[in-house]
Amino acid sequence: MAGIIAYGAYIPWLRLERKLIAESWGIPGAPGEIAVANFDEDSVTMGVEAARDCIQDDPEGVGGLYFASTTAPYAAKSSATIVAAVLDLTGESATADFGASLGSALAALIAASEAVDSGAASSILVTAAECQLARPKTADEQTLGDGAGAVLVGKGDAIAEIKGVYSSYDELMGAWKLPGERLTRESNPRWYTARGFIPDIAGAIKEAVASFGVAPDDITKLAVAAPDFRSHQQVAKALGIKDPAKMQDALFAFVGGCGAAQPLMMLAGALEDASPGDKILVAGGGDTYDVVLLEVTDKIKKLAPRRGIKGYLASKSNLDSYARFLARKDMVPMESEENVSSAIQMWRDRKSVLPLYGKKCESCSTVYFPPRRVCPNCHEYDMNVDWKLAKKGTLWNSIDDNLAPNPEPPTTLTITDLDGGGRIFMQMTDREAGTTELGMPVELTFRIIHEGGGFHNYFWKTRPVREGGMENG
Amino acid sequence: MADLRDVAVIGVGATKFGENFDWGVDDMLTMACFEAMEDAKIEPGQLEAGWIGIQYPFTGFSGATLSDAIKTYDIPITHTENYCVSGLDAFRNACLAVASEQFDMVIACGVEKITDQGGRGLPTAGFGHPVQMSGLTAPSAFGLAFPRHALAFGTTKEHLAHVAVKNHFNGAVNPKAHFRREVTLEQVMKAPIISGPLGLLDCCPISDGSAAAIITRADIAKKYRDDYVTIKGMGFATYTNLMMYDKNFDYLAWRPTVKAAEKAYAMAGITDPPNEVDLAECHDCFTITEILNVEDLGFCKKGDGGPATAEGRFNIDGQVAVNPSGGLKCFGHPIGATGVRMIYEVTKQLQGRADGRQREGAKVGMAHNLGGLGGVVCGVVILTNEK
Repeated sequence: MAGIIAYGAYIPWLRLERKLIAESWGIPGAPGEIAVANFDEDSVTMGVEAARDCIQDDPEGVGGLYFASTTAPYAAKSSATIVAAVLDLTGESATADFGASLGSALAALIAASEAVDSGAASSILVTAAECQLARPKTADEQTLGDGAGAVLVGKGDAIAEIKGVYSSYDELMGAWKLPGERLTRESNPRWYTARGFIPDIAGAIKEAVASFGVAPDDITKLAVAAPDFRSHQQVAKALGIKDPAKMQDALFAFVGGCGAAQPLMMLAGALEDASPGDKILVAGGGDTYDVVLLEVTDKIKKLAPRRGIKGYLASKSNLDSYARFLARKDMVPMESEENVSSAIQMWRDRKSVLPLYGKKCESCSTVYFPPRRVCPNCHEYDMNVDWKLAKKGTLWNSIDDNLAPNPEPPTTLTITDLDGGGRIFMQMTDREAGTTELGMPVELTFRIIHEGGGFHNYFWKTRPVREGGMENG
Repeated sequence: MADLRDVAVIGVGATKFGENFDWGVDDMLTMACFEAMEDAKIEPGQLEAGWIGIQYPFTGFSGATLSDAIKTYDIPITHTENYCVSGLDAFRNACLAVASEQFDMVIACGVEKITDQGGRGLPTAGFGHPVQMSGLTAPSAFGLAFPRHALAFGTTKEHLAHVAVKNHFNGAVNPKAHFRREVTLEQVMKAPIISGPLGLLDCCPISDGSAAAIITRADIAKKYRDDYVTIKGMGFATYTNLMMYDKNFDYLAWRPTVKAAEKAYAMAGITDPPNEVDLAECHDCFTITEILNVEDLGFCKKGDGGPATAEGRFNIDGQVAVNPSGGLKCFGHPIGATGVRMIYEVTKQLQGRADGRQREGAKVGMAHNLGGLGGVVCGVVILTNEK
C-alpha cells in the first residue's frame, strides 16, 4: 500500500488571546490563543505554505495535488490548480478539490493513496487549509483557528505506511452554510456532539480498528479531529482511553480548531514526535467520517528538518486588540484601493507570478526579474533561459509607506537580493513595522495582493524568516 | 536649419497653482496660454503648432485638449506624456520644431487636474504590472533612496527638512504658489510621516495648475521684446521603470538626472556648474529627491547634498539658487504643468521679473524635471539672457 513520504504544516504568524474576545463582549473566555490568517492570507495561500513545508520547495517527482477545504477562495474554480502551479508541478499532474465536509482532507488522503496504489499517479501531495469565520460572540469564535497541513502520499521511502482505511457517514444537520453565506449556521451543538459527532466518530474508530486487525492497545497515537476541545476529550472517554498521552494534541490551546485542515495538522504533529514502529490512527469528519491507520518506518529518521507544527507554532505575534482580529476576518469594512487586473495578463505571466520564474542571461549570467527579452545587464536580445528564483534572500532596501491604502499601515516595501541571483521588489508581510534592517535574511511567502478584476490576484511577498524548526528522528 | 541655441522664449504664463476646485482643465489652460500670448504680445492666430504635456488620461487626451481651450483649430498639436517630465518634453519638442525652421511661432504648455480624482497622493492604480509592483507609491519610490543614501553618506532626516525650509521660504513670497508660508525645521521634522523618512512637509502637495510658453527663433524674438531668453543647453534621458529590480542601480544618484545634465552641460559648454549656473528650478517632489538631484547636477559633491543644503549653499542668495520659486514643494506637482512652470520661473528670473524672489544678476538658469516612480526620466533645459 501507499504511504506518507513527507509531511508539512502551516500556522499563521498572528495569534489572538481568547481573553481579548471575551473582554470585548463581557463573556467568559477560554484560556489560550487562536491562530489568525493575516489580511493577505486565505486557504490557498496557507495550503501553499503547508505544501511547501512538506516538499521543501522541490516539486520533483510529485505527481498530483489534492486540495481540501471548506473555505476555498472560489465557489466555482479549482484551488488545487493554483497551489499546483505555485509549487511548479508539471501540467500532467492530477489535481482535484475536496470540500464541503470537515472530513474532506482524509477523503483526499484516501483518494490519493488509491490513486498511487492503482498506479494512476506516482505520488499525490495532499494539502488541506482552513480559514473559518465564526459568528461574533459565539463559542465558535473562541474555538476556531486558521491553519494548514500537508502530506505527500506515494510509494517507496515512506516514513509511514498506510495500513488500513475505513469510512462511514451519518446524515444530520450539525453545521452548514448556504451558497453565498460567509458565516456558519449551526443547530444545537450539544445535540450535535452528543448524538452525532461523538458516537459517530467513536463508532467509526472502533469499527476501523476491528477491521484493521490491530489491538487497540497497540495504537501508539490517536489523532482524532474534533469540532471543539470538549468533544475531543469526550471522544477519548467514549473510546475508553485512559492515558491522555495517547491522544494527539488537537491544537485547540494555541491554534484553535482548523476544520478540514485539522486531521492533517494533527497527523503532522504526530509524525514530528513519532518513532519507527509507531502506529498512528488518524480520524476526522463531521458528516462523512474517515479513519486511517499508519505505521511509522525507520525512514522517518532521514526526513529533512522542516518547520511543521512545532516550528510554525514557535514564531508568532499577538494581535493587541479584538478589533484587529475582526478586521482580518473582514467583519469590519476597511479602506481598500481600486485595483486593476487582467485575467489574460495574469495567465500570460503565470510562470513569473505563480512559481516565480525570472530569466537567466546566457551571455552574462545575470539572473533577473521580471522576465524580459533583453538582458538588463548586458542588453543581449533573446539570449536567456527561464530561471526559477530562490524563495529566500537578503534585504537590500526597504521603506515603510503610509500612503498606499492598507487596512493596517504602513505597507512595508522591500528590495531583496535573492539567493542564487535576482533582485526583486515586493511588499513585506508578517513583520512588526519599523523592525526591518538592511542586510537581514528574508524569505518569500505566497499571498493575496488584491482583488482587481473580480478575482484573487496572488503574488509573492517577503517576510522576516519565521524562527523555529525541528530536527527529525 | 537653425541651431537649438537660436530658440527663444518670448512669453510665459501660469495659473495660480493649488486646489483649484473652481477651475477645470479648460479654464486653467486658457488662463495660462492667454497670459503667455499676452506676455509675448502675439495673437492665437499666429501660432503655427502646439505641444501640450499631460500625464493622466483623466486630465485629457490628445492635442485637442489645447485646441478646445484656446481654439487654435487646424494647426498640428501634439500631446506629450512622459511622466512628470511631460510638460518639459512638450517644451523640448516645441524647441526642436522651431530649431528645424518648420515653424516660426509655437506654444508649449502643460496642465493637470489632480484634485478631481481625490486628494490622497497621486493616483497610481493601473500603473505597471497588476501584482508585481503593487504597493509602490510616489513617496516610497523616491523615499527608497534614503536608506541607501543615509548608509553611504550619513544623510539624515534633518538634512531633508532643510530642503523644505528653504523652498517654503522662497515660495512664501510667490503669488502663484500653492503653499505661501514659511515652515520651521521643527515643523518639518515633526510632521506626520507619509513614507519612510518623509513627513507631510517633505512631500509636495496635491495641486492643479497650468503653464505655457511661447517659443520662436531669436531673430524673430527681437521684434517682440528685448529681454527674450534663449536655449543654452538641453539634455533628456530615460532610464527604466524597473530600477528596483536592477542590480546595477544603487539609489545613490538619479541616473537620468546625471545623464541629462551631462548632455545639457556639454551643449552649454558648462564645466563648473555651481559657478556657471545662477539658479535652478530643480525637481523636488520630495525633499530626498532634491538632495540627490543637487549632487547629480554637480552643484555639490556626491553625498554632500544634505550638508550643502543645510549650510545654505542653495538658498536664493547662495552659490546656486535652487528652487527660487518655492519649487514643487510650494507649487505642488500638477504633472503635465510642472516642466513648463519651471520654464516660466527661469524665464522670469532671467528677465529680472521675479518679484520678491529675484536671484540678483541671474544670467544662466536651469529647469530640471525628473519623473516616474523613482528617477525614470529626466529633462534639463538651461536658459540664458546673455545674447
